[in-house]
Amino acid sequence: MSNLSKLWRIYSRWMKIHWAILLEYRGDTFFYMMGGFISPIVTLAVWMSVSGGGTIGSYDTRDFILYFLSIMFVSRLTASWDAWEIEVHLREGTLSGFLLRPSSYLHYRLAENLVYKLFYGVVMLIAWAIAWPLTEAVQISLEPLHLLTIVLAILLACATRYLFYYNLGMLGFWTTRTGAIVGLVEAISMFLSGRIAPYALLPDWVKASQSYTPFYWNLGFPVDLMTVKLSGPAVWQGLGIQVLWLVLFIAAYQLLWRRGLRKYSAVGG
Amino acid sequence: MTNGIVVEHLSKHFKVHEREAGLRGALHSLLKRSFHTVRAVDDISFTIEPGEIVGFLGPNGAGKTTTMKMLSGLLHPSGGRVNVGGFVPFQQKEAFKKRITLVMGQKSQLIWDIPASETFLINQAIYEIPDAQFRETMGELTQLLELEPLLKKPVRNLSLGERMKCELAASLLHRPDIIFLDEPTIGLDVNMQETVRRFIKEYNERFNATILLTSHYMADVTALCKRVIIINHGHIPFDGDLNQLVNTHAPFKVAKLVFARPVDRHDLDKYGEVLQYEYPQASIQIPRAAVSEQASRMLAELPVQDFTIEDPPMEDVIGMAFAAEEGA
Repeated sequence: MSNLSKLWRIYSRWMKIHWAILLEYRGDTFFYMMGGFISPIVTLAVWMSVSGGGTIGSYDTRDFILYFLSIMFVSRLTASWDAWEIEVHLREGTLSGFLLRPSSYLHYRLAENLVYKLFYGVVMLIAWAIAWPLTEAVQISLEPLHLLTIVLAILLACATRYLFYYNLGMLGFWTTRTGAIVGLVEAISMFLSGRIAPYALLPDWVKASQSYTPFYWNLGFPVDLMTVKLSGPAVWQGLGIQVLWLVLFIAAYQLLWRRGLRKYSAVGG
Repeated sequence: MTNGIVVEHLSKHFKVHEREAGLRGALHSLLKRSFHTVRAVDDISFTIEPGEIVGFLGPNGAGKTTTMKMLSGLLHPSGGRVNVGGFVPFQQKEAFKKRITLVMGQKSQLIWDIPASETFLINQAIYEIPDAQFRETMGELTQLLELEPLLKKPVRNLSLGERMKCELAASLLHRPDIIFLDEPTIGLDVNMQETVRRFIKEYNERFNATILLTSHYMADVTALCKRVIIINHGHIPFDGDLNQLVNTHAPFKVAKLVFARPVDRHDLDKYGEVLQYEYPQASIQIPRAAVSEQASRMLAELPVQDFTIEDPPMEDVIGMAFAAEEGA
């Protein structure tokens, strides 16, 4: 119990601090958020012009709009920038300040992520609510079980994608610089996560790969739930696969962190 | 809480990638990477008793910071044993972290974009410091280190010295009883250096804290440490009383004279080694054992107007200790 209340105090403190930093750099935060919207909007525009108002595969105009809006929504909520932050902390040796104190570095990082996610989440929900009466393109099914599966899928995607990038960042224990590796993963993810096109429209060999990489489950899957492209057992199976990936990434986190600390050379000073 | 610091045959070796300068070197290292092992710390042993303040001295790259990082649990040793306050540092137990602190003049735990007071508050949560104790300690630190005007400014707007003061406060809020100070007075002006020294001394006396300190300012060492450990090339050539170090490596004092009228330089040679003579001033190095005898002779035989006897500067003594080891 006292452990929990300690953790609560630490999280609320860190979150207040990250909120203060977010406000300090509100311009930066605003542009970061806007930047995240550009790629889905451009991709949407391309698909709209390709489909010419008709249907491609099972997607008509309304489907495309809802699909890319959902991509925008989910990808902002599941974004993780920790790989870059961890690289800086490793390279400059500032990680030391966290290692010396009796509270995991992970709490500091997670608190930051939570603050930005809560902020983006609230802003986007408000925008969605405003758009609701204006266009039926944004009106998704509000059936409780459906909503519950969407929330679950987004939460699982958040956690998995978060740990994925966190783990990539920790490769810095061995390589010091991880930017190139993260860039490569980003490029692959662009294609395999469903960011460029709905999975249903991708070539068969890409579809065949979906179970073997985490990318679809971190973005495409929650979006397919929002756009009701999946139903029945496929929903629960998908959630199960998400859990499997999460467990895998947690195990990888523990291994990398333990091994990494032994490699840590506490640069400089 | 007892147990000080016990270090036995401690080593840390780094594998370093090396390449030659220039394009050729870059291409060569692309094809074939060559590594060499740097023995940053090589088989050192020492013990520090609880409540002791020890100066840890050595030139840049001697292994001071590497040793401190191993003692505080940041680095995993390549070999040997370390015990700090009854703990093995690298296990990074919470109970261990609550008893120690490492202050690095070059590194900061302060959060860059917001005022230092926020770092103090997060440390209160992390170290589970009760409100009353937090307020009391904060009040003391604010007064002693003159923090009041700094508390509301974002850390990035503080000067190096101001940041160092906040850093010290953040590191000592949880009242650790084992403290590693790596260049704690760096960037401070002379007055503030003095304040920080006094503060460290008081802290040591009040909490019986064990302190290991590195500094490039000899005044820090002479003011705070009876004992010094010298490290060079990862080895410890000297561990003992500061006075003994001076006696071993600088077994002489320096007499500084001001003459009322010119004297013949050759007349000075019989008192000791003449380091410098330019009328009206002279400095003469005299073996410690002969100081009082030679001093009275000089006063009797020479037209002395002013006369002082000084220890050689600490920098020189340390330099001589390093040189002695290089020669050995």
